[in-house]
Amino acid sequence: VSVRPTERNLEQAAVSNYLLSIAVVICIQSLVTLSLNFQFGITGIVNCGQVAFFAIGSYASAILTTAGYPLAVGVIVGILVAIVAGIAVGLSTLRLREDYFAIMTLGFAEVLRMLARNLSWLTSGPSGIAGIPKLFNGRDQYYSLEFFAVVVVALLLALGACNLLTASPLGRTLRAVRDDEIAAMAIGKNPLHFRLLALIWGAGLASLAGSLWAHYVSYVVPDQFTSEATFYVWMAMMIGGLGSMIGSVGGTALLFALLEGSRFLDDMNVHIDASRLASLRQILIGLGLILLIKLERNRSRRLGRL
Amino acid sequence: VKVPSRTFAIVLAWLVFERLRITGVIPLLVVSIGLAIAMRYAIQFFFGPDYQQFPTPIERPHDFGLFKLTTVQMTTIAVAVIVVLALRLVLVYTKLGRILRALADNPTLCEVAGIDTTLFRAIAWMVIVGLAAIAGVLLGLNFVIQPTMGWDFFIPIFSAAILGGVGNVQGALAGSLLIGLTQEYSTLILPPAYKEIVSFVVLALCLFVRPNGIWSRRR
Repeated sequence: VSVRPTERNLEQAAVSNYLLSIAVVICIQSLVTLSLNFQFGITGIVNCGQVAFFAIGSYASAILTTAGYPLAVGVIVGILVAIVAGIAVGLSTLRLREDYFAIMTLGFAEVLRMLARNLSWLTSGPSGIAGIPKLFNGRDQYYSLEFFAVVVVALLLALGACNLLTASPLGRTLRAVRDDEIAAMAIGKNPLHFRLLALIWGAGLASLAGSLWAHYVSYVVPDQFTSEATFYVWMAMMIGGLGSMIGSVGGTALLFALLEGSRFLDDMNVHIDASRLASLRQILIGLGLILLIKLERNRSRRLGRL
Repeated sequence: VKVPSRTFAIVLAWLVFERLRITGVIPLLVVSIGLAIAMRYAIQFFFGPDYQQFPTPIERPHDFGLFKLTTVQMTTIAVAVIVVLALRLVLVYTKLGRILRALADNPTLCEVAGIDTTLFRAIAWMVIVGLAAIAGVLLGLNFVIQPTMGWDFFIPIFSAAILGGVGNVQGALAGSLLIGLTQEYSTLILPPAYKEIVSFVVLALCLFVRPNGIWSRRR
């Protein structure tokens, strides 16, 4: 005997679907923020193209699972490709001045997006890849407690690993490379090696996040991976605090809660049409970045760095 | 249209870059990216995301044998050459130009020499924003424009600047010409969608050969 859902039940289901989907997005984005914070906050690599590695993971999973390979293959290939790309980008650009490095990574991300748009045989071009299999069948397209559990476990593992790494002797070396390259060289550490290591570790993490994203939203298009996404991550990182791993999660949660909250402007009798609201959000991202840099500088002037 | 937009941009640049007193290459870089995102979407917010076009008349190009050029294209080339020459003359032969170059080399020394660095930084901003605005108008005359088109240009622009040499006026013109021609001729063998990728490769090669920029004398 099936119970007919009452209107109240349906409404509650919709609310919990929505909240859960935000929680999943926050967890996945937190992984990316974590990876960037490891690169910039701990090691001082100015990666302005983190979205590229996220996109590699997404596309690897999308292409391989829609071609019939098991899920794990997509995730692992994604991470491997991201690591190879990280090595390629790192070896060719890490010895540059840091401003040139920033430009090169930003350019790398843009080039990768252009490739995704144009290599139709591989990526289906601008229309993207749809029908990426879901991990679990929930009661709604975006509602799956099991998937939420998976992303939470992935986030906790990554958080633990990042914390272990930063507390380890390796983490000390990375911070030494960030703060004083010459001193690090003087004690026999090659800064290039350690920067490369941090870049690869971050690339792998971002790729994992990308795979999870692909399996969550079940379609990928090049427009999901614009450079604006990189700067969302930068903002989340700076809200949470440079070099703080748990802060990355907090910062991401706060940022995405605020962005999602802007949807409710409509309920508060502030009527802005959807495309204008989207523009407004991006304006806030831009201005937020400026403000955060300012605040960060005040803080780090006291700490005597940056 | 040009005058109010330029004053607006100058005020904005002054507000962000001078009042906030942000120094250091990386913070400045992130701030300028933040500013770029905010401005693009401010334009989109007020004028919508659609493509727009200057109301230029359709015309038959003049035939010069080797080239065919429309009046708009000829104006564009003339304006670019004149602006670059003027900029070079100002930077090399006037007191203002000397001060600006000194400011780039050693701000502290300028301050010691009694130069109002804040004032001249503001002037530098005016020149920079003015140049970018002229470029924007010329671009609009030649193509359709759209609020978020900026991402498509930053790779070629950086390639051209680094190829030509940072701080080198005629180098900028040469670098841009070289990048532009490379991009266009690449379409003979590659699909046109790969133009920007070509300029990225040029940029990467430049930096690979000379990690501090092509004409750098440092290190």
